[in-house]
Amino acid sequence: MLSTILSWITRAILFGVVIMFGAMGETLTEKSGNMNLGTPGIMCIGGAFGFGCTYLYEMNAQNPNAFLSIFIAIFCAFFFSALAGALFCLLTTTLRANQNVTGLAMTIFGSGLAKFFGMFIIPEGVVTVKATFANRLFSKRMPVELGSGKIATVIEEVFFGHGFMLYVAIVIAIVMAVFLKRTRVGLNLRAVGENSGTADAAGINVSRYKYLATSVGAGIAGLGGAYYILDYNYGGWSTGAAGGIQALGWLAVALVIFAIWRPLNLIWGSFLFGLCYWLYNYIGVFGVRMTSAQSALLEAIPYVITILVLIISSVQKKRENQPPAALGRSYFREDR
Amino acid sequence: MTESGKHTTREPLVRIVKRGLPSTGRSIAVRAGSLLAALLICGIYILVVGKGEVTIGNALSQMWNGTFGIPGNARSMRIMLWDTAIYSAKLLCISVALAPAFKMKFWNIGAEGQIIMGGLMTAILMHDFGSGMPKPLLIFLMVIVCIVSGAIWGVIPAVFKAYWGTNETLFTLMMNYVAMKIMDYFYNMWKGKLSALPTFPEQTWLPPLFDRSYGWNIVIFVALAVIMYFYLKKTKQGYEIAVVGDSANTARYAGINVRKVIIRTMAISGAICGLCGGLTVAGQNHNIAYSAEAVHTVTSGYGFTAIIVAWLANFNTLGMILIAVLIQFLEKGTGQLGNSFPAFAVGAGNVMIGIVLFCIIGGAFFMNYKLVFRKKAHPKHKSETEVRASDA
Amino acid sequence: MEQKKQVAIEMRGVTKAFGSLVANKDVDLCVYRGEILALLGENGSGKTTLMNMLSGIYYPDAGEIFVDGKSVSIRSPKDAFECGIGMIHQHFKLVDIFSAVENVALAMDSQEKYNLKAVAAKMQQICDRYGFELDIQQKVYDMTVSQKQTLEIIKVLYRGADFLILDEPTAVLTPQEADKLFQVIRNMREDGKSVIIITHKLHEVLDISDRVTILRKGQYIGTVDTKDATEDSLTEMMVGQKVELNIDRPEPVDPEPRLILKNVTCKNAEGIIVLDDVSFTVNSGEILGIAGISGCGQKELLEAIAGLQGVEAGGSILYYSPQNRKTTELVGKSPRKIRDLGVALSFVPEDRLGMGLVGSMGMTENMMLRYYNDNKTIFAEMKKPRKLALKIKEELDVATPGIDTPVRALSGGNVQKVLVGREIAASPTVLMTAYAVRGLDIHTSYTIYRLLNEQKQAGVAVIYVGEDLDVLLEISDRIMVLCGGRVNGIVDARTTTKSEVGLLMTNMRKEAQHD
Repeated sequence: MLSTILSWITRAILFGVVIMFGAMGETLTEKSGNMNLGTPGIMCIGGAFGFGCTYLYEMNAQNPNAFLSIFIAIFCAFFFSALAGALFCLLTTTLRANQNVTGLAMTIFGSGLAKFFGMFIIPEGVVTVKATFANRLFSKRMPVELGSGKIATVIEEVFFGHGFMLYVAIVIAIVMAVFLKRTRVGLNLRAVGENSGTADAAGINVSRYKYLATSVGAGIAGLGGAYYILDYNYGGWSTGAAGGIQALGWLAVALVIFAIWRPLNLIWGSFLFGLCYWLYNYIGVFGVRMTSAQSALLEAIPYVITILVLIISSVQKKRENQPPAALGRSYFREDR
Repeated sequence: MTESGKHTTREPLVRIVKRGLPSTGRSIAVRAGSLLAALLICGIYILVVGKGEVTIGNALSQMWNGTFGIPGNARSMRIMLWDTAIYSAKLLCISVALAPAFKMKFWNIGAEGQIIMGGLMTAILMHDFGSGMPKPLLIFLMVIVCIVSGAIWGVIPAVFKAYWGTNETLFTLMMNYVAMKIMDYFYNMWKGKLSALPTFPEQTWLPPLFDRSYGWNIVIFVALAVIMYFYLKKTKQGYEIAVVGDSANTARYAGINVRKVIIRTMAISGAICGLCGGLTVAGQNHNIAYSAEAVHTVTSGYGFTAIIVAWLANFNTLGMILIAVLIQFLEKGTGQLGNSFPAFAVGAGNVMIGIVLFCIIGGAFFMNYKLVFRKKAHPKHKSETEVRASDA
Repeated sequence: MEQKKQVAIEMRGVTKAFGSLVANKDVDLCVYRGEILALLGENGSGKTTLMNMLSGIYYPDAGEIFVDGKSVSIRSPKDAFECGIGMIHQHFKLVDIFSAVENVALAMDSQEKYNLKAVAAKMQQICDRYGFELDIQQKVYDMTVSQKQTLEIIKVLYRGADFLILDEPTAVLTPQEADKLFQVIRNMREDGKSVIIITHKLHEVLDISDRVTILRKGQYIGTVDTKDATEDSLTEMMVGQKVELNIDRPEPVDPEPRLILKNVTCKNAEGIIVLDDVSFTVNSGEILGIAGISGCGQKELLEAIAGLQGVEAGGSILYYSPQNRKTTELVGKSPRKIRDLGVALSFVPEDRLGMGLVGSMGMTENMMLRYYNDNKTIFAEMKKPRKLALKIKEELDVATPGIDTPVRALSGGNVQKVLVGREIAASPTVLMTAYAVRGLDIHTSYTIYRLLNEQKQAGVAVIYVGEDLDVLLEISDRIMVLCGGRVNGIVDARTTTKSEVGLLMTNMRKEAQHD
């Protein structure tokens, strides 16, 4: 019983980390008024390049260095995703293209690019390749041992039984919350997303903020893709993996709404989504029997509660809980 | 006076200036330019990936063969053209369904879900009631059911938008996944322990036309496009949609019930999507598929692609046909390219579609704006203070 | 004296066009340190556009700008700040979900340490010094218009701007608030700052400014010292020559009530009362002028009659049909319902392209706005609108490439001709117009006056909401003055004086504020 619940929580957390990265990236992007529906595609890019680069490294190095392996994975995932984010911003901010259309095109492009790049790595005739070395590093538990008591085990499993990326994600979420709330740049960024004209009149370089937020946001989202491959998916890449990332990417977009654009809410929100997602596997814990078909309905729960959050916040009309007011709009100073 | 302060003293190098209304000539020129740029970038991509072994002409001819058949080979052309026709028609139909919503400035990203609901409800009829019902009645019921269920899926976000201003982009997006999961439920339930869901019994299929079970689909999809053209251009409701899309305030002033128009238009948009799903299941797929296998699903993922098509065509039905065929050319063509050259087997198609779309999307900028470069010689005025200084 | 004056900002030969519309043509302007310059001009004379080029919102097509004698290129508001220019826009540049202090921090100098507490303290100092009353932690969306303006001014002061531009700052203020504001502006002048105040109100110009620069139709007319100026001389510069407007005013024939309003009270979206217990009668064959400073309930009044604005319980708007003398209660009915009941109401709203017309559509389709539903088929009525569009283009001499050219591309005067033409063609019993000649050239304005008088002579009850008192006095038969949402008096336009109406526009404020 206890071990079942623990395993459920562990899986939920693993799952949560993937979408937390995606949602953090999207939150940062949306705070600048850009709605990047290309996030699922960008996460695919992050996954393919993060995995691919570190895989090439460990295949070609005699004695792969742990630090380098992690660095290469994270750097490449971030860098190439950020490039995709910059491309999105070029189209929507500089060339004033519609954000929804550009975002969807980006998702098509990103998943394609990921599969295409991944294929270069997969030798002919092989379905899945594994970055074993990197996977070992990413899934390595925290070196904390609290003894053998029941409570100690629970605490150890729930709080320390995960790879380092979980803690990185939480730190990023907290830093982002502080950044948005307590720093000048964060304040400026929020102003850009709320009312670009006002931010502009205040002397804020609207385009630069949009570019930076969107690129860094895309980079962070890309880390989610890399984490998906290197830990969640046990280090294995296959063409199908890109589809898996994309599906979680849409859930990340949903999570942003669920968290009403607040980074701290993303932390528990992502775990809650993870619990929902894996509920079908563990629903026996509650004494409920379920067919595998019915489990599909459980997977709809995160989307349904997201819709509910969206409805409730719009019916309540509480100003603090609304999407950034300029979300989805291009800004051109001389528009009259 | 001569110290160079922190103030910038020069005009910016490039400024963006809004143009007047785009003329037809400029529209065509911009589109052509975008396609040329896309061709150029794709060409470089093909050369690099093909390591020079695949020439651009070679690649293009492969793509042509994959879309329209090998020229001169009647059998190949027949197969390919029919295939291209049905998928183009389907993409066209969904784009057409989105057009009224977009014209109203209602971002219906939920076509995917609306199609699925229409397709799923039809599938339920085919699966559970198909054998015990006279065929005309069954077909009648299928059409009604898929239209109604698609409409319902579209109306739900519209009601919340109309009464509470709930963000429709996010709402419709989420509705897609709820629909997918519901479809997965039925798929898994029907499939049971089988490895895949078998097709529904043949007596439930749509009657064939042109020797093809999806013949009616093509006819109906194209007919819908024509009807929608007139609906938007000529009818009272179409006019109301245009007014609401431009200014809700003007619509209220003119006595138009804005809420009613939003809900009604989304019902129509969702209904067409639902019909498309229903016809696809009954006439083409005779099956539903697990949502993770995107290619085989009822929608083929076109619920998203159609958004791009409808937007790029600027709600113009004729334009939608062209863009739908272009997308087919890219999708099927790159598929063929992948068959012929392994380097293009996976993902390359989407990469090239992405490149083409980016070029068209980005190019549209030059329709409404132009760049003004800094003029070289700049006649200098003397400032009043300078004049005063020289006077003193 | 003269030598001590130091030029602060100078604009030379500045030109700015939006498409075919030339907003500023070859304009010169010069402000000295430590002076208040009034920028005077009618609505639509290009004052705001000109100042937007100083504040970095627009970039001039031609011409040069000098700050402290140096040629500068102000490409963005940031550049403007660096030049020490701060502008208080008519439409406030505030982030709604931010608190006052956050909004100020947004505009903070980037050298300054980011510390909201310190910002709040410094803001409080500014408030105390000038006597502003503002809750520094309050969210902007909870603020009144005047609080928002106060915040805007604090923002610019906080930033230590040397040159301040205020765009029609008193439009939303009570007289007391305006007096306070003027005191602040004078204090700033004592500090050696330069202030440009955009206005079209002559008494303000004479009250506060040192010099006046006058624009007319986007062109520079001249600059005079205020001490040498009179209302007459300024008016002359503003409108061209001193003209008796000489608008015709035929005598009303057989006036009969067409609309009777009783106890009409309206609240805006925020639940604030904007129209307070208004009662009056509109008669056929007369023009009822409605005067008042902007935002005193004019918009809500017309929209309430048109069925676009809800009326609180107890109010009544009765319509008397000229044919059968049947009465119809308009309160609680939608615009469509009102029309279906046979009420012949025409309405030329203030926001021409945002409410009266559809900017992206051509003349024909804009005519359809009234007639598209006039047949029994599902197809929109197009023949009648097309004929009407051609007729209006012909009769009112609308300058457009074609009746299918989007009306957004037309000039302001032609847009208004399309709108007024359509509304008059509907042969109304009651014709309501809001700021019908705002931004129009003299010629078009007179066309509009002529059309209104023709309607009046045809027995139509005309409501004319205006801002130019001279026009109101010459065209109306009676003038109703609104003040803070209340009727402050109805006077006979033939016998009243400008000062009487002017007083009614501002005077009841004290009484109104009691509740």
